Amino acid sequence: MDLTRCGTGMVLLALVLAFFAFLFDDIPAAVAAGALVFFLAARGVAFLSALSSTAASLTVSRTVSSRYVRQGTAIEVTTRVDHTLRPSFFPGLTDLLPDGSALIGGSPAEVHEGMIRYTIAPLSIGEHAFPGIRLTLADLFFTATLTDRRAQSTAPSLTVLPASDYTLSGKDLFGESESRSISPLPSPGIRSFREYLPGDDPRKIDWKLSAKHDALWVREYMGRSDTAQLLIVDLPDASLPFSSEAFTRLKEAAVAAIAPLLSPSRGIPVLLISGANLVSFSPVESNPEKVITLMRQLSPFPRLHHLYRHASTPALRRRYSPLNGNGMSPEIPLEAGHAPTGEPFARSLALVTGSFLSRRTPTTYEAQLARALHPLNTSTAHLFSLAGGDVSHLSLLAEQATLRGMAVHLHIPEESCDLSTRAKINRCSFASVEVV
Amino acid sequence: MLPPVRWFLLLCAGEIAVVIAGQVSIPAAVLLQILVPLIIFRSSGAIDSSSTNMVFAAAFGLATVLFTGLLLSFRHTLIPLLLLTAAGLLAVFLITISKYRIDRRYRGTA
Repeated sequence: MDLTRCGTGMVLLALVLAFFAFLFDDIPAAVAAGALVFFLAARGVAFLSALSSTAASLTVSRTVSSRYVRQGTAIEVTTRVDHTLRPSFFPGLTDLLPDGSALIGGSPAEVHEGMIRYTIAPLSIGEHAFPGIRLTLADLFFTATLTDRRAQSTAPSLTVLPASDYTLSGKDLFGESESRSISPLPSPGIRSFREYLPGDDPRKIDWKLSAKHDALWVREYMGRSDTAQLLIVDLPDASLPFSSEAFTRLKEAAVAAIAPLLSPSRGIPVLLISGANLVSFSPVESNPEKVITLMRQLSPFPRLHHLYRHASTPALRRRYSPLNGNGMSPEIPLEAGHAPTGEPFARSLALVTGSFLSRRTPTTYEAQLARALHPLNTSTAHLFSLAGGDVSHLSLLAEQATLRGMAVHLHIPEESCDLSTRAKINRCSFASVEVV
Repeated sequence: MLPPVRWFLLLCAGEIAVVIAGQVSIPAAVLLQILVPLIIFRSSGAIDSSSTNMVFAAAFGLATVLFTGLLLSFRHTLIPLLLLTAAGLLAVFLITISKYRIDRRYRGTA
């Protein structure tokens, strides 16, 4: 039980009056000091009585979406709390999370019409009961916290099963076996060839094939591919207004999407961008709680670099290639009388743009993306973005990921899903778009 | 409703009035001392007319009157103030024990 500011002020006032009374032998000051002490003592007894009666009236009824779950699975918890309270006291209720669980949605301290609703992800295996409910009572002079751990407040218990992430024994269909160590030596078998991308290891270049096609080609070696998924979050610009509700929902969706994939034995790459600015990149983040905490603490980031209707050099080459019909994209309107259609114009345009494009260097953002995505051996990426304003950075990201064989799934909030944004997103090479 | 700082300033002003009134009449000072906190905190909503608060107000008034009687019988303040300190410490001890008992009642089985 603690004193509030008002209570502390009264204690100090009593001490000052007592000191004055002692110094000047003043009986009225001593009466005032004594009265304040008695006032606080009597009020303390009344406060304890209120705390006891409120705790006795507390009834807790908790339901969970599933009692038997796999590690990292999201569980929705609904707790109904009923209590009676004397007037002039202010209560606060917090539902305590089971050990080893991470909060991924809602708030266990928000009581709405006697109900507390939130979502957790249990990260440690075993049987875990809820630790109870915390009651905080306050009045003008005192505040106290009481943790109710009676049987009715700790039920039900969760049984968390492992995420079945064990090493497989034996050989698979391709004759490869699981290895605990990563070998720096590539496999002698070549799976396929593809065009060279910035950031590729020059040792992988196949010179014979490159000479034949007059372009750099690299070998892709065989090997068991990892099933880890890349998490990308596009933070909103801190200098521009944005919907904080949509951003909160986006963060909760990100946590809910990655929670089942997290386990201490397998890391998840996390890439944070803000427009055309790479904020941070963690190739292997293996601490699940750290990832979830990071997701929950994400905040808008000031954007230093901006892109507007920016396209990558390969995309522009494709657009102005004379082999693609008349070489013009339907996005570029032609004015009648000024733009002749047909082969000569397309060839001239391709020649002019080609001379510019040959000297065009990739932006810093493109180079950063290439360096970040190059070492990843993942086939799926989840991108969470508000998709506000220009989406060139998303388009570049989707293009680079697709070139590396990644399927990028875009998650956008409902507020951003208007016609213009949908049209812009449809032009990007996303594998799917989900509205959260 | 007044902010807590204003209540505290009002209380300080009331205590100064009690000390000044006590120089003229001790019974008036005692009466004023009982009424000042009750009126201030009743207007703030911290004390209402419930039965618990009536008992609280009666206990507070009785303790103040008894302490004044003690002060007048001693005719100086040293020993009554020492007794007041002891009473305050005893109250803190009893409140701590009571809170511990409430905590133990609701902590459940290990």
